[in-house]
Amino acid sequence: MSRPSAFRSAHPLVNFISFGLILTLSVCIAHPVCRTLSAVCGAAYYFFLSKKALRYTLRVVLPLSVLTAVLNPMFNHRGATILAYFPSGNPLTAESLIYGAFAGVLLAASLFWFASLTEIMTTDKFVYLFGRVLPSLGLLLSMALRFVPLFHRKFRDAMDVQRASGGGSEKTAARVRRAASAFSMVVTWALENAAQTADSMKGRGYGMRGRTSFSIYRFTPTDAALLCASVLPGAAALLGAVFGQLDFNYYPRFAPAAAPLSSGLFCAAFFVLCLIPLLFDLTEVLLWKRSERRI
Amino acid sequence: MEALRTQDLTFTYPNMSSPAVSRVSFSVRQGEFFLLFGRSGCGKTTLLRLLKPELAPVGEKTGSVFFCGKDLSALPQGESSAGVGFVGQCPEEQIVTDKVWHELAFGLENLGADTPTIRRRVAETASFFGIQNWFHKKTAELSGGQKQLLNLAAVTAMRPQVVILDEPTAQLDPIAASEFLSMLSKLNRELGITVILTEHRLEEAIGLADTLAFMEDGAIEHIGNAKDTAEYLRKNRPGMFAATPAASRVWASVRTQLPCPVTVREGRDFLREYLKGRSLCPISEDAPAKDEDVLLTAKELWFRYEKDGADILRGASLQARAGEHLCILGGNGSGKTTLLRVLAGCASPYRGSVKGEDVFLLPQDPKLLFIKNTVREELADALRGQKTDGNQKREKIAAVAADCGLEGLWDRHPYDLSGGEQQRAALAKLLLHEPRVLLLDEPTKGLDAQSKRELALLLRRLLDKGCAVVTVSHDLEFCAEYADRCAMFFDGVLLGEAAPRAFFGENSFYTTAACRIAKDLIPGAVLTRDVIEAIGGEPGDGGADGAKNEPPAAGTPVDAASIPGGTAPPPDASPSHDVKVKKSAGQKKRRTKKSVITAVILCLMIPATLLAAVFFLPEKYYYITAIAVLIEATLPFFVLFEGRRPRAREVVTLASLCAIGVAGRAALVMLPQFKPVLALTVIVGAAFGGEAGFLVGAVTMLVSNMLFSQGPWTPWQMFAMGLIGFLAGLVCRGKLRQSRLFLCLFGAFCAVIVYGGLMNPSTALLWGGAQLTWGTVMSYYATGFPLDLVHAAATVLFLWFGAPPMLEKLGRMKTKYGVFA
Repeated sequence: MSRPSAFRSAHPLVNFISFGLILTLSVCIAHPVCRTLSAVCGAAYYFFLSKKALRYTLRVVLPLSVLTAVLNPMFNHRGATILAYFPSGNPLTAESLIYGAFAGVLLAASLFWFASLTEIMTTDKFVYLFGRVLPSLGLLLSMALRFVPLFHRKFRDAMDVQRASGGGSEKTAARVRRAASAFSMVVTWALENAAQTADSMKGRGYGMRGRTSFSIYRFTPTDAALLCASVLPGAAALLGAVFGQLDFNYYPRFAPAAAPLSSGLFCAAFFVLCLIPLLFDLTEVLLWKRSERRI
Repeated sequence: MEALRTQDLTFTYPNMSSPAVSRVSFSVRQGEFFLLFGRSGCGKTTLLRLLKPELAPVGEKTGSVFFCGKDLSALPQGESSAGVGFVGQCPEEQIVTDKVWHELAFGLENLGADTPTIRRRVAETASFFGIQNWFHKKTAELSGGQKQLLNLAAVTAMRPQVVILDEPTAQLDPIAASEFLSMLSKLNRELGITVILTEHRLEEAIGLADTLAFMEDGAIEHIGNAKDTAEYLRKNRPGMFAATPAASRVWASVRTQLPCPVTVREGRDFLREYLKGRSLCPISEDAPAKDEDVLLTAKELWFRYEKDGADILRGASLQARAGEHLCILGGNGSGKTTLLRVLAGCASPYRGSVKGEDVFLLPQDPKLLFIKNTVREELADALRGQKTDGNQKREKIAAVAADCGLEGLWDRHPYDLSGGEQQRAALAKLLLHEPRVLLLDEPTKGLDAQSKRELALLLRRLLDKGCAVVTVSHDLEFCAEYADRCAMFFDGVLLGEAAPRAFFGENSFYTTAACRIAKDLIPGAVLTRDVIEAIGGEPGDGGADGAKNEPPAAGTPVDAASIPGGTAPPPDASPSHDVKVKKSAGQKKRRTKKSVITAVILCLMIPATLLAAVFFLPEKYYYITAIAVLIEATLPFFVLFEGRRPRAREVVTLASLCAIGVAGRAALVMLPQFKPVLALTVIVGAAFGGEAGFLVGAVTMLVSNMLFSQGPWTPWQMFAMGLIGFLAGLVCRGKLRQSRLFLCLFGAFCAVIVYGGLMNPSTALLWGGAQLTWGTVMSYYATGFPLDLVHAAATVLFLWFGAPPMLEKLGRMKTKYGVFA
């Protein structure tokens, strides 16, 4: 269901660093402008990538964010601007409402970015990244991924057999029993066949020292450029965060903690970081359109 | 120059009196195509495995094997892995990774080749095999033939000098099999790779081979080219002719000085020459159609899988009569299996109707029917829920088992049986339901001539009792021999229904080899037996021909009888299974120092991170700190796993268990938090220990999030589930603590306290900082609590019903295969 994306075909390391920077900085920077930008860019990118975006927003993002936003003022009573009092006598403050709202925005941002990450970081890329650092784990992942569809199909076949050999009763109890038998069959099958797969691995030299990890990914000049385009603004925003230029006071009063000019600059850097994936994809779309005319 | 040479090679399995391979000496030239054949259980597989050190079975071995002049057992592993490639019988189980390109690279990765080298070799291999079009595909999406080609290509990518293949086409349909063999022949001719092959379908392979070796009772009796071998067999082993091509069988039945024909063309030449001046004897005819009761009627079936998909059945109709064996033939992917599913009631047609009672289906893979640990339990399971008393049940089981030749196999695990025995056991399970109509899907796949014959005899006895049998098959020879009626399935309908001689006599491509040989020369001859009858020859005594009217050979399972020594290991199934893997002292502590040190450092980093966070970092970094701690706690397990260089079987077992967890989680996705992963993790931890428990828990969560939805929760879920597996390994030890009740209590505790306890506050941490009050955390607990309860209930349910059988299965892995023992 997902749209083709140039960013998806980039080198996994680029994807990983780019998303890693965005997610880490989104969590670390409390500045309301940055949080909003992150959420907006994340949402925009996810809506660009996936047709399921609207459903995801309504079903997952909104409820969780609203819950977060509502919970904070109920349990937090700091802040100078008192709006009302709870029956328990605790005050409801404007600051705690605002803080809650931006906590919700942060949650939404992280959900959107993670959803985009699921679209971009295909299973291959995870296998590659883990395999680079921990080859055995990479292999384990690759094999688990291979077995999932295999077992799924076996399970379906086993269900068929159970239905055909145990009478096709449609009562819930009978169906549950059939499923249990089929599941049991799949587990035995999986475990017993492990021996043959293991033989095949040994036959091809598994178990020797110095196993390498191959991938079909190549690090192209475009990847290098893309990496720079993410790392430079990312580093800038990080510096801003470390030196307090992106700090923001929610309590006792909602007010910026740094000079507006410098924090504005660092916000802009963060904005660029968040825009890069979408920007790159859109550029590629334009490039293709232009070259298509020349075909 | 020889590629492989054996000298006085003798091998005996543990606890066996006679050797499985005895004093075998032969040599294979470089670039030779060497075909090894013999009965099931004659020691072919054992011999082939002895030629590949990594796969050599455990037992007593004398004599030696030389690879290019060097002793194979003294060769470094790298050289023997790359130099000698091995392809086994099952296409599916040999594939290791999830992508075609990765599978091709797998062997080279093991050899430690660098990326540019692998890239070139993989590209080269893929182009040679014509794989480039499915290079990026998932291995799960390939057809059986493609899978086996991929297995061959993956071995070839390592640039072997010798490729050993153990019945590689047994599981393939005829078209895929001949494609595979022609690729093999191309490898041999164009690259000069030496090929050593065993096959039970010699018809095609014999034409490719330079040298044939006939093996009997563990010894190689005769080596020579096709014609020599045929002469030898005619003189000394007439019974072995069942497996040879039809042309040779015809030739062997008469006394003649003409050379032995092998291919259909040579067979026709021989027949023309032989028949000069001779007249034909009359041949037997089809039995007249019986007018028995119709037990199954299908009328105008229309079926498709998807709304917008193509119709698979387009008005198929058929009738199955009592006492009649109906064979349906058809090409690959023509929908034959779908037809059977509809007939068996597994799928319903959107138009048309199926009428029939007690219809049972034997699937292609008989293992699909096995859910217990012994043949005895399997058969008892079939009668579960029937309202007859114990004695009656026992008698019934004994009768069916005798009929299917299962005596002596009562206490064997169904997976330890040979292919033919498995099929008979599965059939016995169905027969206990007293079917009136039996549907068989490709029943001859992977069976040798002997097992096919036994199957046919068993079916005949059923037919005589008044059952109807409907077989769907590619196996023209089998159908021609044993069917009462044949029909062709094409384009969604059944065509040309007729008695076998009429049916096959009409066809000119899609017919038996004997028919193609005798076309125009002997009118009406379809079976090899017919041709032999017509030319007045003597049928070979052990051949498949003429078996139809023999008395049933009940109670003498031939597979078992032909094993030297009688009982014990399954004949051609990889025999190393029954041997407990001995653990040497060094094996248990295989962890490298480096990995232990890394793990310790990572663990020490946890308090360091916490201290740093408290003293140096402002409060807004709470979440980052938490994630860092999670990663530092998770990584040591992965690093230790890396450091112990896990054995192949352990990796496969762990990967399988993870995949089962992922598939289970996906299957129940509609029910919130009603997930089996926790139960599985607890069971694995209890059976295999904390480390395996942690890995299965963490990797299952990682993979299912990779496939379905990543979120801020991923590291939390990985750690929480891993921790549960680890705790299970620590806590659930010993009989009492592996009891059902204890595991259920432990599972419920883990679901609410450990899993819920970690997952619920994780969201609060994300935005918490200094705002994180006790009240907020508790409110998150409160919102999460109902779902935690559901999770706990699901876990208890899964553990209550699943834990005992699962622990048994995992225990078998431990004792039998030495996995995590």
